[in-house]
Amino acid sequence: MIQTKHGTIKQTHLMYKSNLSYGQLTSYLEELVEKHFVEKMDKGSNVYVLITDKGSEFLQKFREMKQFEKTFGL
Amino acid sequence: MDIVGVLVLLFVGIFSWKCYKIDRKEKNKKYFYLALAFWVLAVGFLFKILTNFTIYYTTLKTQQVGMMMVTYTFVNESNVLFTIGMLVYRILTLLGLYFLYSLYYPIKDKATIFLNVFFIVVAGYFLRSAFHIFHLTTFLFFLFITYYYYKNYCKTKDCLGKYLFVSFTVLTLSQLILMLYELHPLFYTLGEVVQLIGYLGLAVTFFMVRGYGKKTIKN
Repeated sequence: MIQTKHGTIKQTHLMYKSNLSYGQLTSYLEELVEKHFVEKMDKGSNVYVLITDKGSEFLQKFREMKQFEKTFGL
Repeated sequence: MDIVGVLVLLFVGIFSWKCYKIDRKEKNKKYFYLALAFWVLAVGFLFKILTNFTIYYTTLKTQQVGMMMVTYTFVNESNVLFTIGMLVYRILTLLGLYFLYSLYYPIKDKATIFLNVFFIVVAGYFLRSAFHIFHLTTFLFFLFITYYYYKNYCKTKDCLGKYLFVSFTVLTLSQLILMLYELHPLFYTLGEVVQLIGYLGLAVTFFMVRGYGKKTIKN
């Protein structure tokens, strides 16, 4: 979802698009920030979520894995 | 030709193992079994490559020529690499195909699995004089695996699933051709070429799967 917005998305937009409550989103984001997959950035009154290089790399490998699973019928 | 098969099987096995390492939960064990199946097949091919080598050794021989005893050295060849290589190749190929087959048609009972593995090892040993039966067995394994890939393609409508199904269809066909090698040696060459095409197809499919991950989602 973050990649479709060119790597940066407002936290509130992410919450609406992922259909998560604020509490759930905060909890997931904390874990992702801890693992350096995303970063948070404050721009004025808005909080933006950016995907890191490590996050992009993980997404790439995850997509490969999912495609492999689909192709080989696992 | 066998080297291509070894490399393709190794690459797929290594990728599947890496997927399993990401999350080693019970539900992801399918990646481990797929990796195991492909690695066993790859090692089987390595032993088949070994059969292309012959050990030469010098030995002494004594012969009586008239009133004289002549001792001379001569070069002799040993077929030990060929014999061991073919035996291990047959057993590992059957085992690898059985692991792949049982991934898609699972048997839960451990006693049955043990017996099946035992019968495969025994069959691999006794098939040394009936190579066409070995290829008939591998043909049947490939047939069932290909049928599963066909059902998977019908279910997912995935383009890469179609390529995988076609690759395995070619590999199944290669085993059918290799069964006929006793009729004419040309069938062996043809079977090997068709098998190479099958493994090249598998390689292309695999690299396209890897390439899929590099695509970025465009808005």
